Amino acid sequence: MPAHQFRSQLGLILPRLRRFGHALTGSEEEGDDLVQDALVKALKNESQFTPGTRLDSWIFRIMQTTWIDKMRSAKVRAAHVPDLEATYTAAGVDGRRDFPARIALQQTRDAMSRLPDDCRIALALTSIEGYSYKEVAETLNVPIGTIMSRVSRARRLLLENFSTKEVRTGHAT
Amino acid sequence: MQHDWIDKLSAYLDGEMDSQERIEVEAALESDPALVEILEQMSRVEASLRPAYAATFHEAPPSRLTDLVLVPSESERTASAWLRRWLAAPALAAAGIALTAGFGIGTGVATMTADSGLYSIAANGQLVPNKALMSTLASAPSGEIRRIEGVPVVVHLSLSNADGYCRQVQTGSLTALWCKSEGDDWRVMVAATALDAPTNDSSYSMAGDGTPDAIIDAIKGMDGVTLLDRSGEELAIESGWIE
Repeated sequence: MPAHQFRSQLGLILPRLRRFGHALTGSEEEGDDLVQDALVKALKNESQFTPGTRLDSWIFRIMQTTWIDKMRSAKVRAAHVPDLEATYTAAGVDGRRDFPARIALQQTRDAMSRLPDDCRIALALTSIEGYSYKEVAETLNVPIGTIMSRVSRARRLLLENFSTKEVRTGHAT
Repeated sequence: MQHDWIDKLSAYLDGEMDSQERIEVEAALESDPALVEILEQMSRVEASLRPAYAATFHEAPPSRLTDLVLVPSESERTASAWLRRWLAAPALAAAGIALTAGFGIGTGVATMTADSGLYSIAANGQLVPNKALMSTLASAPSGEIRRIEGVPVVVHLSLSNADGYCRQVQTGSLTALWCKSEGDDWRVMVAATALDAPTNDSSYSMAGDGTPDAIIDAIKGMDGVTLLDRSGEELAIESGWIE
């Protein structure tokens, strides 16, 4: 595949890469950093991509391994602080009117960011990117049963997180 | 017990069960309201996941990313390999190949379903770009990705010829050569699928470097072709594509 076409195809999937990066890292800025790192690696190793296979899967895998490596080397991961300021000031949106809905979305992102990496990656690829368990298993090179377990565990943790919030809300009101 | 059921309900929610497993889960749901409640909670969380990242998906990517993937190297901007070879062969260029002007309904419209909101078809069979695509043709620099009605659009190259200007534009899965003469609007000279070219139709097969044969042939058939570099393209945009 010629370089310009390879880059064009990367450009076409860029919105999905950014969405996955955001879901994976918990912040848009950090997600873009991850996408940038993955794109540099992809462009450098373009010859390793097999034409006819899914380019998005290939990049998702690069992003996943890059993120895991980064977490291992950093040893620690700063707790994600909900960006309430950004929630209020999103461009073009009436902050007061849409605040409850955006708080709900922020809570979802916060809950996602608290999941273990392997669970969050499996759930993001399944529920956000629309992959089947088989496709996720092939992308991450793990057994399909492992993906099923990770997705299920992610959902159980999210349910626990949200049910805790509901109880707290009930006490507060 | 609940963990087992969350595993099953999760797979059920994803449609990852065979028919027997699905029947068992549905039977359990009919007899156990607690399971229904868990499934409903799970569905609510599920429904919030994609919207939680929708803003990131829909907003324009930052330039540090688009520059990385969409700005070709200078050599690629100047001319793709096949075109440089062709331009270096005057005899071949002089011979020329008859250009198939226009875009018949039977030749490729079927490939355009995903992008059909970007065009309409005039009574004479010509494709007419919508306002946003018209604006992109007139103003977008090569390599800059834009989204029109959710479809990614990128200009791959611009050239001038004896009749005016042409731009190769990819809209989703379609790549087309749009040309404009002074006083006329942009119109498609030839188009082909960009990513999923049919293999049983040689007229739409991909050339060695990925540029559809139909577009290569169309450019070869033109007189006085000059590929525009970045500055040439900027001048053409500023002048409104009038020589």
